[in-house]
Amino acid sequence: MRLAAHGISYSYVPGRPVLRGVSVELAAGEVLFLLGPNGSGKTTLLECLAGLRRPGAGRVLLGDADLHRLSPRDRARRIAYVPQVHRPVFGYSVLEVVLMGRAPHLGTFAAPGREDREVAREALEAVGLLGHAHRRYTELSGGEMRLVLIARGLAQGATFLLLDEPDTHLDPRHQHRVLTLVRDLTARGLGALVTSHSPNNALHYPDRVVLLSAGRVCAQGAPEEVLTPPRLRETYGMEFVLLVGGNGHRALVPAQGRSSSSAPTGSESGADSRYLRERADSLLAARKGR
Amino acid sequence: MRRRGLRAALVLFPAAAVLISLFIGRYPVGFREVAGAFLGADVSPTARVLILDVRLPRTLGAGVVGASLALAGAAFQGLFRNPLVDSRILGVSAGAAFGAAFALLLGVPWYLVDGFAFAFGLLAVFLVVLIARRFGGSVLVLVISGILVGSLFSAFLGVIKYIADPLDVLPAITYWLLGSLAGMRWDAVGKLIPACLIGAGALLLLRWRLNVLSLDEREATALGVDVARLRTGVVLAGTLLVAAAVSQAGMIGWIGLITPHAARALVGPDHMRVLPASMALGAGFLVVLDLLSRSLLASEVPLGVLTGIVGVPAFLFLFMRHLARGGGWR
Repeated sequence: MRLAAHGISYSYVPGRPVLRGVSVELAAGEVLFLLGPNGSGKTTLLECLAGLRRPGAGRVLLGDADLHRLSPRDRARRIAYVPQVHRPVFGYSVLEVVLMGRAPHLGTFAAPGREDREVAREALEAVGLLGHAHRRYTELSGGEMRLVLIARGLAQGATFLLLDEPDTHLDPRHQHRVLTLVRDLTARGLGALVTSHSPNNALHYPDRVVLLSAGRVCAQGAPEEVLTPPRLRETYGMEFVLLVGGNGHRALVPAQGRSSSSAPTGSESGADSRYLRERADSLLAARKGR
Repeated sequence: MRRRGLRAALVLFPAAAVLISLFIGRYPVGFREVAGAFLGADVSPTARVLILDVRLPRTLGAGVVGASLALAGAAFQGLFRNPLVDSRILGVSAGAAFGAAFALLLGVPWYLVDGFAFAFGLLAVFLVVLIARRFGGSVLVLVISGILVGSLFSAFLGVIKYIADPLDVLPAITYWLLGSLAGMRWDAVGKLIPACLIGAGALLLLRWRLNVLSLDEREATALGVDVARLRTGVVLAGTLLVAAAVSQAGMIGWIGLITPHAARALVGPDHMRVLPASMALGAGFLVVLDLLSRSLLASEVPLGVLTGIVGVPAFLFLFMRHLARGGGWR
C-alpha cells in the first residue's frame, strides 16, 4: 500500500503557490521525514496527503484510488492525522480522546461499544499509556499528549500516520520516546510521515528524508545522502558541520561557534549580545537609582 | 456503583420537583387532594381543576422548557467549542422572540408563530456564524457577534412593540418577553411537545459525534466526520428546541448556559452523558425556579428575573471550576 502525491500544487492566495508540483511517496513500513524551512510547505503537503486540503493541480493517490474520491469515512480508516498538540476546550479523559478515533468505524447516530473500547485500550497499551486511561487529557505533559494522539490514530485502524511536528516542544527523552514509537509502529507495517525542524532527528530516525524548499522537493533519499552540509546551506541559508562519532553516529551542528571571533557572523552576534548586556545593566542601574 | 446512584438522582430530581410543585401555591392542597385528583376520587372541583389543569401542565411545561433550553445549550457549547455560549448569547433567543412577536403582530395562527420563531432563530445563528467566520471564528468573536446580532433583533423587537396595538397585542408581547410560564396550560404543552421531541431526539442520537465535533475542525474532518453537515444538523435541532421554548414561554435566560456546566461537573465532559444530564438538570432547575417565581411573593416574580439572580453567581462559580480543571475557552 502506498500513499503518493503526484505533482501537486496548492495556493492559499491565488498566484502565490505554497506547493509547486510536489511528488512524494510514502510506503507502508517506512518512516519518511519531511524537512524544510518555515514556510516551505511542509504542513500544507501533510494536509494534502491527509485529504484535508485539495490540491489545485496534481493528484493524491491512496493505492490506486484517488484520495479525494474516497468518502471521509473510508479515508479516515486508512489515514490518521496526528496534529500538533492542542488543548481541547473540554477536559476529556485519555480514553475518551482515543475512543474518538473510532469515529470512522461508527454510524452517524452510533456510540462506541465494548469492542471499540477494547480497541482503544489496545491502542493505549501500544503507546505505553494504558495506566493513564482515566486521567484528564488536558493534564498530561506535551509528550504524553502526543502519544495519546498517536494512540487515537492507531484506534482509527489506519495504515498511514501523518504526524505534524511531533518532536517540537519536547525534551530529548520525550522526543526519543515518540520517535522510537513511530519507528516501532512502522516495523509492524504502518507507514509514517513526520514533519520536523530537527536535522539530527532526521538523521537518526527515518528510512528516507524529503527536503522541501520554497514549495518544491529539492532532495529526497536516505538521510545521510540528503542531509549534507552543502544541501542544508542551500535550503536553510546557514553552514552546518557533520560530525561522525566513532560508533557511526552522525550529528549536524551549526558551523559558527557560539561567539568566537573567527567566524564572521559569530562576531556580529557577539557584538549584539554585548550590546544587550550593557543595555540591561544600565536599565537595572536606573531602576536601583530611583 | 456511584455512577448508578448519580443516574438515579438525575432522574429523581426533576420528578421530585414536579411532584412537590403540585402541592405548593397560594391555594393550599394536601396529599389527599393531590392523590384524589389523580385517582378520580371525590375532591372539590376547584382542587381538581387547580391540580390537573393548572399546576400539572405548568410544571410539566416548565420541565420541558428547561430540558430543551439546557439541551440546546449543551449542544451549542460542544458544537462551537465554547463554554460561554448558549441560545441567548448566540442570538437564537432574540431571533426567535422577534419572529414570534412578528407573527403575533400579523395575527397568524399558532403553528405559524412557532414557524416564525424557528425561522428567525435560524436566521440569527446563521448571521452570527457568518460574521464570526468573517473575523476568524475565535470563541471571543463568536460571542461578540452573537451579542451584536442579538441586539439587532432586540431592536427590531422594539419596533414591533412600538407599532403594536397597545390594548391588545402589546401586553401579550411584553408579558411574554419577560419569560413566564404563567400561561402554560395543556394546549401550550401540546404545542411544545412535538418540536421538543424532534429536536431532543436528533441531538441525543448525535451526542457522541458532538465529542468529535468539539475538537478542532480539521481534526474532526480527519476523523472522517462530515463537519459541515453534522454542524448544520445540530444547529437545526438546537434552534428547533429554543424556538419552541421561546414561543411558549418567552425569553428565559441562563438555564442554557449554566446547566451544561453543572452537568459536566457531575458526569464529566463526555457528551454521551452531558446531554441527558443537562436535560434532567435543566428540567429540575426550571421547575424549582418556576415554583419560586409563583410562590415567593404575593404576585408572580418574572421567571427571567429569577433565573438571572440565581444564574449569574452559579455561572461564575461553575466557570471558575471549568478553568481550574484545565478547561479552555480561547
